[in-house]
Amino acid sequence: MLVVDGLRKEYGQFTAVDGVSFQLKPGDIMGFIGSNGAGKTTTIKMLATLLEPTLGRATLNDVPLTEGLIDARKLIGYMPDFFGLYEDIRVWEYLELFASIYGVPKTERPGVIDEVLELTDLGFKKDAFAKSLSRGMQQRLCLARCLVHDPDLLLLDEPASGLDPRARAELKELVAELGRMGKIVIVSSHILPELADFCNVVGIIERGQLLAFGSVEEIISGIEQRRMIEVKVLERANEASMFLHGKEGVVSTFLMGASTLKVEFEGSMESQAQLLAEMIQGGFLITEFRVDAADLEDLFMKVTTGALN
Amino acid sequence: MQAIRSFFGHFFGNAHSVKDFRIQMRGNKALILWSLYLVLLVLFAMFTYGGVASQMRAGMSAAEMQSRLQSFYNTLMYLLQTAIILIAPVLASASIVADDERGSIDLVLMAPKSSTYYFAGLVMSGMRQLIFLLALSIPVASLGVIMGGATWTDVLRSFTIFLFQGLFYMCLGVPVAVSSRKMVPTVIGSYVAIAVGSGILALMNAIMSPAMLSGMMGGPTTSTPTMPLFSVLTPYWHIIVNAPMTAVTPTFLIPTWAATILMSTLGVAICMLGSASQMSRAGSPAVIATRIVGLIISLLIGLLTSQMFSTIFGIGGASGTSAGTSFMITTALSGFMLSGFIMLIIVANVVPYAFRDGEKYFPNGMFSVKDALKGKPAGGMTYALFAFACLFGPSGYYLFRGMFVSTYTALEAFAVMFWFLCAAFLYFGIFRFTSPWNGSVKSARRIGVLFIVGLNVGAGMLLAMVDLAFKTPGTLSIINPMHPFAETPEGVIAKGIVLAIVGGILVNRSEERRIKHPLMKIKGRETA
Ligand SMILES: Nc1ncnc2c1ncn2[C@@H]1O[C@H](COP(=O)(O)OP(=O)(O)OP(=O)(O)O)[C@@H](O)[C@H]1O
Ligand SMILES: [Mg+2]
Repeated sequence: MLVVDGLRKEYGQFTAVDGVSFQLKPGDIMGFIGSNGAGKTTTIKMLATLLEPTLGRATLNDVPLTEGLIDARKLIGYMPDFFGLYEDIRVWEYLELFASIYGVPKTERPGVIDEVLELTDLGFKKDAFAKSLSRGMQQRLCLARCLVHDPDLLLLDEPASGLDPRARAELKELVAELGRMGKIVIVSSHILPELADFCNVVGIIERGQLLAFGSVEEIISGIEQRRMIEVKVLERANEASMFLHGKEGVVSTFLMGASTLKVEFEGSMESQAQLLAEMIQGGFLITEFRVDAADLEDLFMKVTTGALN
Repeated sequence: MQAIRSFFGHFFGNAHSVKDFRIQMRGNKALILWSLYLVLLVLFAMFTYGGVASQMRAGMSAAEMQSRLQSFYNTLMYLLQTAIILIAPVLASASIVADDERGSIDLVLMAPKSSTYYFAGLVMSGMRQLIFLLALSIPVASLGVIMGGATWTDVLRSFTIFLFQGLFYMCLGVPVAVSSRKMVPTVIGSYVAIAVGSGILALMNAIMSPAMLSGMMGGPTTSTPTMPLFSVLTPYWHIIVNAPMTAVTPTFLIPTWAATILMSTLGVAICMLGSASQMSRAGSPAVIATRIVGLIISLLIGLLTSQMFSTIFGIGGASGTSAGTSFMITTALSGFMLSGFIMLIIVANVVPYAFRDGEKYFPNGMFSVKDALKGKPAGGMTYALFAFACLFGPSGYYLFRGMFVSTYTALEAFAVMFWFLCAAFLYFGIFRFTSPWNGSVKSARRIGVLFIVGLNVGAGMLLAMVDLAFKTPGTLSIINPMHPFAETPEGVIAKGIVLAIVGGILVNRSEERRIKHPLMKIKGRETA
């Protein structure tokens, strides 16, 4: 259980993080979203024991993370937004260095290294030089490094930046796997849609303040704002468009082609579910029904600009 | 047992050192450099040896031949010393800066190991390089031995001294690297640290050694050449003096190599701990350890200075003579210059604060006894007082016993000690004063140091210039408050009072500003 309570960080007169509080339980994957300078890295660094908070505290399984205790660091794996790889060092040597300073006994190290390499799909690069790996592989190596001591909390600062779509998908799969292993994972990003589909919790931070925290659906319904729902049907798109007119919460519909329509929707999550049920009852063969990804971006903008005004 | 194992674990099998070793064994950059060094050494040996050999053939006297051989060996030692001075300071500091630039320093420092573990790893890697450098020189050095310019004992002693001096120079660069985190300032700063440090030690020696080494101090009149304790860390000094023994006090001698190991260990400890505490928060073990070692070193220096006092005043066991001549007082009081300099370093490190640099430097008060060892700015003054007591206390003890010998000289000595206390208070005021105006501790510290150097140099220059204009040589410089010398002890005390008043005004002004600062009013923050 991670309990973050009123974390605050000041740099002189400037407050970079302003009273961030939330709780996560084992297995939770939290998407930590905010624009440049929102305070993501600062918050993560405080949790990683690298920065001393001005006020507030955080505990992981009742061990305080913010009091400079050396032992608390064994519980944390932190992957910053840069790699920090050494020249002239092999993949396994790099992992061995970290296994050693994280206190993994000498005899267990080879086994642990093989394990994390397998988990991150890097087994075949064990003897390669770390610097010779591709960007995506280096990213996975850094993740492997965070895992050598089997931490309970993983802090990943913008792990997906600079990755191609395929590598992103692999990374998501890996993070989901870590969640299934019962670890608490915090993943930061600028982009909500990138995280929305595999995080069960999302926190939106802007100007140091946590504006929204909860599942994507909770946040959406919390704001009760207009959103675009993309509906794909096998046939009769035109008819579906007519059908939706006047239903509860539907503001307008647009036909986007032979099988796709967009519905501008305003209402609770319940009425959104109701709408889907009615369409199915109406005999439409629906292949897809989802809030538009571009619209999640819009949602994010709305949450954050709301705070700025 | 656990503590001992962890202590040795810092140095042997250190993970950072293992990693560095692997890296050093790869890449041919190192190989090329070392080969170059070896070639240079061999060339040097061939030329010098050739010169000596040809002169030997020309039928010279045995004594002259001996001295030529001696000079061959000495030249080699100069060469080695130069190599050490050039290489050692950047060995560890460059790795730190490189680690910082690539970001890996954050990664290793957040491991559940103290930062001293990281530094110890760097030091062990550096040691390996130094040993390698010395090992490469053995063939050439053995030439000197075989030809009779030196003995194996000489070589062993010199190499031990080189190694530990190198270790100390290497560690001097570490705090510089940690605070600047940039390559060029670090490299320059490391060399400057050595130059300034050894310059001051050499000055101390110049002042002290005539007094210490001459029989008139009541020291032992042995036939063994000795060198003063401070000079063992000064480069080249031990080659010049070539003395097998070091005077810890005028009566207590130990081998020079042992003195080097001792002094270097203390120096390394304070550099490592100081760097670690720069990166730790207030009250962490590294900070407390640094502060304690700082006091121990201060006390050691204080005791050494007091030995000077005791011999000068003819008390404390030694059968001194000639108590109370003005020259002797000046000599002994100059001994305080080292203490005064150490005091300045301590004040510069413990006093400045900043609202920006996190809780550690947050100014939570003025005079807190419980923060003295924890490293919060509120404990700065208390710690400075402790340090003052360690640096000057032992001499003060002798001073008051010395009163029975001559009231006047005791007053003189008291005046100078009083002046140093006031100067320390002025420094305290200056660093307190530069703090609330500055974004960071570093800039507060830098401006304070500039201010003090400016005062010392500026005031002297100004008065000298006025003297020059009015053709009154040396008259006005006597009133320069930045110097503990005046014609009478009362004059020195008056100067001290001036410094203390200025210091008080600065402290007062800065406190007004600190208390008014908006950040002092946030709830939930401890404001002592
Ligand atoms: N050492 C520092 N001194 C002063 N201000 C700082 C410092 N570090 C960060 N800040 C400020 O704190 C704010 C938050 O920075 P942070 O790095 O946490 O943002 P972020 O959300 O990670 O942004 P990005 O998406 O660009 O990585 C920024 O306005 C930044 O300028
Ligand atoms: Mg960031």
